[in-house]
Amino acid sequence: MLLISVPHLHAQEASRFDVFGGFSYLRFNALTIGYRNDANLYGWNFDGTGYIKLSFGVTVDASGDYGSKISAYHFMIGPQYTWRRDKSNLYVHGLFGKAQNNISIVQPTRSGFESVGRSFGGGFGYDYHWRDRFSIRVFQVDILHSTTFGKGQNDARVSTGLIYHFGHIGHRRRL
Amino acid sequence: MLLMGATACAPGTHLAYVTLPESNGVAAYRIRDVNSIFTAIVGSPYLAGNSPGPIVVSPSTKYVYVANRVDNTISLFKVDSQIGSLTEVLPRAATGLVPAAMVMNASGSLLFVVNEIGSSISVYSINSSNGALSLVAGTPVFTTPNPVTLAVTPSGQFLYVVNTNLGAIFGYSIAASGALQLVPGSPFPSDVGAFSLVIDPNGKFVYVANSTASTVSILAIAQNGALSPVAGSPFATGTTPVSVAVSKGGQYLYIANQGSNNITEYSIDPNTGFPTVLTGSPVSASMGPSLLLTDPDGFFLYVVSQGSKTITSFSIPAATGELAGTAESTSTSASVVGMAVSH
Repeated sequence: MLLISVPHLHAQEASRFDVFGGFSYLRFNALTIGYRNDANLYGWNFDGTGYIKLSFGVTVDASGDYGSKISAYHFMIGPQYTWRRDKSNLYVHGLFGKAQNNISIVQPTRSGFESVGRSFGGGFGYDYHWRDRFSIRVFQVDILHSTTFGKGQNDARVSTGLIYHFGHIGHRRRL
Repeated sequence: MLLMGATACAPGTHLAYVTLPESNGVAAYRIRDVNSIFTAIVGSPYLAGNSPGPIVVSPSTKYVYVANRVDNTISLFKVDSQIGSLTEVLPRAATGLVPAAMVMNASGSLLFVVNEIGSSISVYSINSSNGALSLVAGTPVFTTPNPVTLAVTPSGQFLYVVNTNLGAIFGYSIAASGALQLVPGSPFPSDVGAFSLVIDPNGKFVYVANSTASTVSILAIAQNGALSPVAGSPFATGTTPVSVAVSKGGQYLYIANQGSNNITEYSIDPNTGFPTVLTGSPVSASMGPSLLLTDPDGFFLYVVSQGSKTITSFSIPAATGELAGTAESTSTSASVVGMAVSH
């Protein structure tokens, strides 16, 4: 009986560390820098979350998104609260850090303009447990406020991808 | 400059380019018609030559030309169609001494530059594929001293040049090559201190602001390009009129009075050219209004005030022509000398 129950308990372990990598879409608020319309950017998003308690952790987040003559990067950190279930996680987080926006406007003396400024925001997401040590990030949505080129802008970011879990901090709650 | 030949469309956005001679720059803005807010385009202001002044956008909206008044050159900028930003294409084209004003014909094939100290008119043909300028043979054409500004008819047949010293207008017929020939009877008298002129979109009348006399002259254009004053011309304006603009359909006329810090509004009889001052005229403007221009769609009048270093937007109601303030103005941080608006 004991031998049978051990793998069961192992399956219910809550990870201490989650590492995510995946695809990102950014709706870039280009109106603030003189574009006719907002811009659609696509790229990557990586983050890592270390849990201090079963539901509370700290997330480090980095993303890069690219579009026509624009590239936008975010490097942020913040607290995350996670509701752990048997087969899924639902979480909210706050983020703050830096944003860097590059605009490729060729000039006689330079290839473009770049600006680095503060960035903060927050969002939520849903992860579905796929198999041992792996989950699928079904979605993560963040609203990010950045100040670059002397202007404030609000961007929306949506991410999806794969999560790798390691370490353990406790046990998942069963439904 | 009023961009001729633009197609009408619903309010959206426009691009505005203004020259800042103190910083040798050209500032670029996107204007949202819904609220007239000016948003500086990233990277603006863009470096031009020494003391940029007159500025023109090509009808294709692909190119911007800026006259550098100390370098005596013309800068060509390519416009990024997506962003509206500018990239200068070097080298700059040489022109005469102190280019004071520029205008382009409606087809965008010829650029005319009046050189104030050089007392000449330079004409350039424009390569439609890259915007490059080539001086037309037989130009520059020399004029009497101190020509200050110029305008070309919508048909592209005639060019008119203001000479402040004489208080008169010189008319030229324009050949297909860009060569100029003086119109018979030229020069045509205006009034003391003739300073600025505009031609109505129908090509029937020339309006001249006479800064010293504080009047506006309205001159009818004959088929051969000769000018004759309409009955009653010149007409009284505010103090020191320095810029004149006409609405897209030619129904309304606006005069910037630098001395009285206001704008006089008129309706224009389409047949006789006779002006009637509108109810509510004059409209107050920021200190030292120096330049008026309308957007290509005729929805707005932009007022550049050198005194307050601002650009203020007024909407133009098509039914009445009475300017309505949008309460939006943008600070340019330096005195603006030239401004052009395009789609």
